[in-house]
Amino acid sequence: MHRAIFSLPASSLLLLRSLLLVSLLVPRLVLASTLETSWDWMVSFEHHESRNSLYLPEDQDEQWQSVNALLDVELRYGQWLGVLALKGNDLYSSQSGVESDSEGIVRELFWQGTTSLSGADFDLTLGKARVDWGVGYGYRPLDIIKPYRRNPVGIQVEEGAGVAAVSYFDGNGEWTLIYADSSWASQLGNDLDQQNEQQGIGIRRYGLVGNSEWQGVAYYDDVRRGLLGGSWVSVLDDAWELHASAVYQSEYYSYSLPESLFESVRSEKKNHGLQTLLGLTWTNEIGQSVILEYWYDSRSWNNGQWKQAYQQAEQINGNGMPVGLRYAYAQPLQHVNLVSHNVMLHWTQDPIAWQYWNWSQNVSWLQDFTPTFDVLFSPEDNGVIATQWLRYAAVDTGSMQFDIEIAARILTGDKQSVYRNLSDKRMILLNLKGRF
Amino acid sequence: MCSRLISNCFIFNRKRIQQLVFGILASILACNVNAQPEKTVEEILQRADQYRLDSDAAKVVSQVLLYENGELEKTRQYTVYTRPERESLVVSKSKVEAGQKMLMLGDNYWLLMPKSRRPIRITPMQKLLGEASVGDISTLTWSEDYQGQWVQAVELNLPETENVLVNQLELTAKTSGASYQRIELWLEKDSDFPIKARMYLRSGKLAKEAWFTKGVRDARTSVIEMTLLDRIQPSKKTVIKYQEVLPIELDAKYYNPAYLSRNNVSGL
Repeated sequence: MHRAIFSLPASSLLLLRSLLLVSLLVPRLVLASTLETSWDWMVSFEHHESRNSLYLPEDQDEQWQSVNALLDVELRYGQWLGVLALKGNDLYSSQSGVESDSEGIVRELFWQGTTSLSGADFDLTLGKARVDWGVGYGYRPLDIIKPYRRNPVGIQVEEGAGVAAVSYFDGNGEWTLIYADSSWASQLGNDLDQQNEQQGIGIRRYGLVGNSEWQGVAYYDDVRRGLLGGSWVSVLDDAWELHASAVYQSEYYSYSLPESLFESVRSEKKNHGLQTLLGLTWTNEIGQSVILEYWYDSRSWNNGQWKQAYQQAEQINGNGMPVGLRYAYAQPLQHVNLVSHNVMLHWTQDPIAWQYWNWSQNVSWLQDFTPTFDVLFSPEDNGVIATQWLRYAAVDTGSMQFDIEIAARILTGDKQSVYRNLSDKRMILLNLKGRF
Repeated sequence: MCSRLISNCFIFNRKRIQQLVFGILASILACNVNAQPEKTVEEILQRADQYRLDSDAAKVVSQVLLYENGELEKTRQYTVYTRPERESLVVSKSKVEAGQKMLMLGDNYWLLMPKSRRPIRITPMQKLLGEASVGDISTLTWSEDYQGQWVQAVELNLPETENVLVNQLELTAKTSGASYQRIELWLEKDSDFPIKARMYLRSGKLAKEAWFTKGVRDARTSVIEMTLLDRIQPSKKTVIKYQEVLPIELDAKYYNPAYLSRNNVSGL
């Protein structure tokens, strides 16, 4: 089955048309109106190994292979910017019954311009745009307009939200007044993603004070009905950086544990959601970089809830009750964070490091080789997701680039840990990437 | 016999006089070579800076050529907007780095990756990483980042042309954001034109040796090229060509980290 999607909701189309009109009315900066393009492509050869999960139907195959591809172009013309993607899913799959499909995705399409009012300049953004306010590597609580999945191993396409924003830049930072509609997406999210689609309005202040920068956000939307957030980033010296972020939201959708085995897990509106993150970065002179982060998400299930879920799912399985009741326990895996408490360690080595050791100094291919390693640890149940990326810059002329990457991810931990009970056991990917 | 003696005496005296004259001249020359300049080190550094950047705020278009074993491996194109107080905006213009920008405000640095909408705060150490270190491209002056000290006046052997009399200076970083901890700098004695520099990392390790090429840009004697020889990996060489230097000052908001992701910055 082949399908192509280039669709936006009707309200979004109306906004898109109106922004075109506004862009003609607002005075423009003098910019070179030439079309500039920047192309990226990626082909991902994937090998997956699965295991039986208490929460999920058994996979047909213990292991399977697939090929996915992505072509992505950024178009810039004057004050317009568009990022379009063509994604090919399962171009090859070893699993029977899986057919290839393709999607055309408008990742971003927006207009930015400046207008003057009472002698002050105001910068406008209108259209479908990514709003990335978050700080952090493993997770960014302040990506409040739309949460973006972090550090994928394979192909992933993130889309913007419908945005109308006015910014005022002063000597110390930026004031932003924003309206956003997160439903402007052509990729269908999971049930929880769809429940959390919101329209809202908010104000943000970004400030730079000495060596530190901070953000404060107040946002009201039709799902969370009030949100306050903030972040702080400071560089302590040549090598060390500290960052922190927190978000409080009045309401949120989350899955709840049923009180009886005969009831299904279901999503409910809950009150008082809190997310916090604290992290540090260290880099040395020879290119070793380490990031250590801890974050907490009260909207996710904690260890006690997951333990109870495990026991209840086991009982359902043991009693021969309908499998649908057991599989319903997989729904909390749709939460942005699978567990409440998370620790991440990230390490990467810049290719410059190879020049500092005698044994590697003269190995020419190593000079274009970048290893990266991430460990996501769940301290409450000892679950571990370990990921490595080995990237080799095969060609780089300045006008074109070709990288070969081997990525591997393994999910393990204690028997009852959430990560151990995901159906993915391990995956190995060969990614071929290019830019021109 | 007497006349021969007189003649010998004359010859002897003439030789002695020649030796004396040469000796005095050599001493004068030696004194001049080793004499400490009358200008202060700060004045010398500021004059040397002017050969690279002759206005407070400027747009500098640079082409970076990276060689390995003498063969051109890759090229990069950057446009740098500098202004006083050690502030600069680096916009990458190469296809493979299209949309990449770096903002430097004193010792604070932000990096915006291609197709990203969020500038990442980076540490001074992270700024130093990468083959064509952004510090080498964006920092065009020494006087703001380094404290100088006169070491000696010497005759410097040049690789391809005749030797030149130079003042050797020792520069020590006075800000944590300086790209190198220590620099040995050789400036042409009369003109203060930079000839050669050796740059040392915080660990004390010699990182790079720079040679500056003299040329004429806009009817002024200027540094038109800087060649960096990698002392940690000798097979690598980087040539930075300063193609255009124009006195342009951007609006203040371009030096605001929050403004980095705006479309306008990419259009610069």
